[in-house]
Amino acid sequence: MGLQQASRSSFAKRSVAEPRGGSAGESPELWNPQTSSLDLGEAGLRRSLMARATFGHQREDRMELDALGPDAWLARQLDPELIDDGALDQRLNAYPWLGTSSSPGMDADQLRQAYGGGGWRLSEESKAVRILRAKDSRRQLFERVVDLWNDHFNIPFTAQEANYLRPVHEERVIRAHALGSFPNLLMAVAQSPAMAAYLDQDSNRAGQPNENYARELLELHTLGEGNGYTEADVREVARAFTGWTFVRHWESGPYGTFRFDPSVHDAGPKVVLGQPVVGTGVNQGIRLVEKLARDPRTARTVATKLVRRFLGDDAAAGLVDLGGESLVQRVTDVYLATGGEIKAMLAEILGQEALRAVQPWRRRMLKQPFHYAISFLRALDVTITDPTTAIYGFAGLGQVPFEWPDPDGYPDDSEAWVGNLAPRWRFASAVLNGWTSWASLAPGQLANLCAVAGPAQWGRCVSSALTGGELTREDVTALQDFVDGAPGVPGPADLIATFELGASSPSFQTY
Amino acid sequence: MTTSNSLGHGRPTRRGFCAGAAAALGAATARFGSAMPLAPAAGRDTVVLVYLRGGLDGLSACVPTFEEGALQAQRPGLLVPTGSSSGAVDLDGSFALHPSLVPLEGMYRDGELAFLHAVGGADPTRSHFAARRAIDAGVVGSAVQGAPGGWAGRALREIPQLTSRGPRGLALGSVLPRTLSGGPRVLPVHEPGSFSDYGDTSTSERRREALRMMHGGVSSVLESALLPVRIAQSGVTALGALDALGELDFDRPPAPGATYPDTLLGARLRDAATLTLENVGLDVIHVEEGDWDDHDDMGPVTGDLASRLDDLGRSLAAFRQDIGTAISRTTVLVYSEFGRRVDENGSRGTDHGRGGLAFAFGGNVNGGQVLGAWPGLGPGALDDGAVRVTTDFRDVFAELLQKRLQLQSLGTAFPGHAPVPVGLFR
Repeated sequence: MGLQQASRSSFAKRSVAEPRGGSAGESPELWNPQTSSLDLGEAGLRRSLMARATFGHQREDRMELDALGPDAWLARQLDPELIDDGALDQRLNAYPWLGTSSSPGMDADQLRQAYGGGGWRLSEESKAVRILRAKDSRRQLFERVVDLWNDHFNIPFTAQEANYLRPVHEERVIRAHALGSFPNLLMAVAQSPAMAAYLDQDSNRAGQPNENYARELLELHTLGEGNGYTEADVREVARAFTGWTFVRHWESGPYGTFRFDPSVHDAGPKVVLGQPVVGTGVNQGIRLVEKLARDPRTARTVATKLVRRFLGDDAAAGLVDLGGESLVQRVTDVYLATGGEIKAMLAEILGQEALRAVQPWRRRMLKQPFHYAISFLRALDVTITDPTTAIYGFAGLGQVPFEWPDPDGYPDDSEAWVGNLAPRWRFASAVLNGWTSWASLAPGQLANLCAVAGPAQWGRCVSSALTGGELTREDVTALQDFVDGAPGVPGPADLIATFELGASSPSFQTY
Repeated sequence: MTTSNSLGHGRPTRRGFCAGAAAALGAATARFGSAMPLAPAAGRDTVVLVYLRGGLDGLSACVPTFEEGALQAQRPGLLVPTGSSSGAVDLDGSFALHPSLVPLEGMYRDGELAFLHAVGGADPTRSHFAARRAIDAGVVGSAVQGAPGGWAGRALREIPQLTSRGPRGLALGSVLPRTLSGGPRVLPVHEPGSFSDYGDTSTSERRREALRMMHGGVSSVLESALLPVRIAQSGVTALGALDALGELDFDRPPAPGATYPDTLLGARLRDAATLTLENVGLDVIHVEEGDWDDHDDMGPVTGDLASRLDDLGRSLAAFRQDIGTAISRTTVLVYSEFGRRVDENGSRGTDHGRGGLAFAFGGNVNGGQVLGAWPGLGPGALDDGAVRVTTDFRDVFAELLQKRLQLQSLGTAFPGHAPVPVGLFR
């Protein structure tokens, strides 16, 4: 079936058929007419790839994956420039400071001049843009990787001067390098004024070093916590980076660009990780970043982080083997062999061999709240009519982009999030009932989705619409029991509530 | 969107929803027991943990005035003046409160508030994240990975529940801190006042029943890391919390004289006071406030740290005033992952240190004193530029659990650790 041939009615018909699900965490076999003739492995593979590489099931994306097959679809996602994102670009024209394919967008100096005194608007608009991109971009894997790097190199908008510096950081550092090489990304972050302002590099001076950036460079950005460095190393690294700052608005030169100030650089000898720091002046920091980027411990830390984000804790803990070595080791090897090429690592992580070894359908992961919200909005094709107000909806869930205050990023740990279910129930309820001022479902959307099914099939219909048929049998039964228990003929309020319950169900919290 | 218009159901108010829900859920409410205030259980407090994230500088908050020489030498730009005209509060001739913490003076004079200096984790790390993880986990070193949950969560499993529904541990925020993780009926609540307010009233009873069905079948005390089990447990906890919190009035006016600052911390402590006053079987309330990582522009008496201390002092004092006689069954513990280095850095701030400051107040605190073995600030006394740790956080937490939550055995909360008395709680 070609992409253009799929109509809404053919989709609705699909929902009538029988889903065959086990309980979450076992093997929820997906009913899907396009893959039902294939063995479970192939079907499981496709839906796993869809689940792990995107922000959740969406009809067009799923049909594209079915049409291309997993390898070609993944290759396309890893080459996002080739994916037309015209509809999103159109939407983003509302933010004139943002770059387009033909322009890099405003720099910090221009932002400061254009928004001086109203910089908070850039913070709001950045969060709104992040939500729009996650939901509406066809370059889904790219957007998920952007989220990962934003956590790895977290900079909240509450940081110093972030209103003007962070939008530039997002466009020219994070997004520019998200699928490039990790060493280049690391270097760009090290010289990013947004990071310098956040972690006090701008006041790290000879004789009075400020270790804030140096510590997080070792602990969070490269080697990993406690991974073979000492407190003395932290302080020596801080000395090496004395003088790394940026042009402040009262200084000459373009505001918000990297600047090395030799007058406050500590030129004395330094020893880091048992070896003298090479080079002089700004080159000391540069050599140090390069050295850290080459370190096998950095390779393993980055590989582990990528594996955890896309394949979960078991795989990150080294419990998944690929031909005699752990998946983490395999990805670490790819890092070391390619000089930290992010695309190459992702190709390994989301490739068929790794997915078959991990069996993601047996190792479900918990959606973080942002992921949950985006997956819900994507599945039902909800229009975000007021992206800036949408931020408040996400705040109710507890996860707004760029608001985690500390340098470690939002926790990639299900235990941190699993206790917070009720706000998800409320979120889905508010959107479905039309009680938000920022979201809109097309008129009759829910009724259209389940028109053919009829109330006796609403449970399955909801599962199909939200996940492509992946809710567990238990959850679908509970949904149908709810419908069947209506005091009269189930009506529109019951249909809304069934969707609400579907989005509140345990299996919709996972992917 | 047309669906809601065609239904003719308006968005319910919270009160309206609660009244409706209470009627509609009559049977279920009876089954789960009511949320009527409980008779105080003998010796059982509501424990409020106030965690200051980032590393509070104890040398600024509670200044060792007898160390003025050492402080002057190592942090000349950051020494908090404590002279008679400074506004600082002389506590006992040796220590003085930062001028911004004046609102706490009354509690100290009344014998309700005590300070503890040179407290820290047994793990020597100076990473925020590693230090916090170890403190929250209640274990040290590589055992952090092996010990599921946190010290308070594990302790709650061993402490008899006061009711069979409603949360036992509640973190005011969106993320469950490790401290409470692993406990029965623990959850984060970002906005308790609107927590129970959602959904269309015409289907609310049936929706709750469906949610119970979807999250049922798993004991809420079953220990399991399996995600489906955790989700089911969490759903059961959330349903209980929807009922329990929906019956509380978080908009109640504070007691006369209790003026909370208009800050997030103020709002959090006001909610904590409501939860404490209502006495619905909650054992532990967790409040967290960030930004205490004063690498730059630390003060000493104006600036970021001073304004945060001001917020902290006024919020805690308002909480104290607000809960009135409930102080007799309330214990508040304020702490941070580490103290800061003694010496000033190049940004008029300080970098990560070791021993820090904790303080506690309540009806069962040995108040009116500054506790802890003072390790000294001389060059030989420091731990790589920082105050040495002389009290292990686990000993503070253990005493809190033993004395104020009547925990009988500490082995589960602090595996491998033999706690020693601190003397903070009675």
